[in-house]
Formats: sequence, C-alpha cells, structure tokens
Amino acid sequence: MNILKTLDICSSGLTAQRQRLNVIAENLANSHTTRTPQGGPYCRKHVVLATRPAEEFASCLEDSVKVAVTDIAEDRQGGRPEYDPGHPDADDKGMVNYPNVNPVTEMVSLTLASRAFDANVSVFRAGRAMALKALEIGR
Amino acid sequence: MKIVPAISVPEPQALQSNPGSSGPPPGSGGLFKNMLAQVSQGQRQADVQIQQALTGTGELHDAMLALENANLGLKFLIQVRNKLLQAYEELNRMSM
Repeated sequence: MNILKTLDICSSGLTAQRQRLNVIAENLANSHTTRTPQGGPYCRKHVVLATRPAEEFASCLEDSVKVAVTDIAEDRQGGRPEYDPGHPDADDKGMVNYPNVNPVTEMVSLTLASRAFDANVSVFRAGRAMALKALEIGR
Repeated sequence: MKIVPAISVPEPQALQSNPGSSGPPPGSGGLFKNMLAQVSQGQRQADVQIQQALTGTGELHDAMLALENANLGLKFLIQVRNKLLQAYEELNRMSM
C-alpha cells in the first residue's frame, strides 16, 4: 500500500527531528560547561542530515528518499572567552573559555525542529485522511 | 474464519481484482486470508513498537505510526469483508 510509504518517510523525518532536538537539548544544557573529559570547554554540536534511499520498498520504480542523521559534528568556532577572575577555570589573565553556545541560536533551532516535526505529523495526517476518504468510496 | 470457505465458492470475478491482492492464491477466500494475515502482522508489529516505546528503546512516534498503520489495515479489512458479505447476500437472494 502506498500509505505505508508515506508512513515510512514521515517516520524518518520525525526520527531525524527528534535526534536534532536531543542535540539542541545537549547544547543548551552544556551552555556553561567549562570542563570536559577531552579538556577545555564544551563544544557546540551540529546535526548533519542526509538523504537515505528507501530501499526496503518492494517497488523501486520511484526513487523516493528518506532522511537520516549521518553525523553529529562539533562546531568549528572556538570557545567564547569571558572575563571572570573568580572562576576556578580562569587563566592567569582572569579569562574563562566558555562554550560557543548561543542560547538565542539554540532557541531558533529548537523552534525550527519543532515546526519541522509538526510538518511531518501534518503530512501523515493528510495521508491518513486521504486513505480514510478512499475507504469511504465503498460505503 | 468460518465464513471464508462459504464465500470462496461463488468466486465473483469483480472481487478478485481488489487492491492488495499480492498473494498467489486465487479466489476471494485466499485474498481475504492473505489480508487477515497482513493485518495481524501489522498489529503484532504495533505491539512490539509500543513495548519498545514504553521500555525506552523505541521512539514514541514510531509506535503511534505503527498503531495508525494497524488501524488503517483493520478498517480496510472490514470494508473488504463488508463487500464480500454484500456480494454473498446478493447471490443468496437470487431465485433459482
């Protein structure tokens, strides 16, 4: 059934946005973390999305693609130095290297992820409504 | 499942061309059995997804999507059953 294809593609989108949300949560939770096992402050993370062929469908005539998180990469920008001489991790000039997490950017990403999730749900709802209408033909 | 052999006797030609008849067995009885198995499979999958969502290994939306899938499958099956019964009753009413 074709509704299953819609379901599968929507599911991949929903999963991708969930993973994006997890990464945003991680960034926001660690927005003031100055210590990590690797040393130095926490580094902001990005989600890299990529298309994935929907190969498990029986008919490969239409090459529909799903989405998937391929990589969770660290931001290339360095930390954000701030003057805070009382901080235990301050250097001899009194500067502390804070993570390069901007809460405003993260909130925007959060809204985008949330809206994208909603959009995927809407697509599925539309597909379901179409299927139910199709079933009503026989009534 | 008792109704299936009774219905497969007349073998109405129109019912064989129903969508979703991917299985090899001809006749509406085989088609119905096939569909029943598929719907049952969908419901089992939904069960598994719900368990995974509750235990934290699966995603919530996957469970809901599997449930919707099972729901739609069942609705489709019911419609097909209604049509089969309708056809059977139509034939039953035929005066010899």
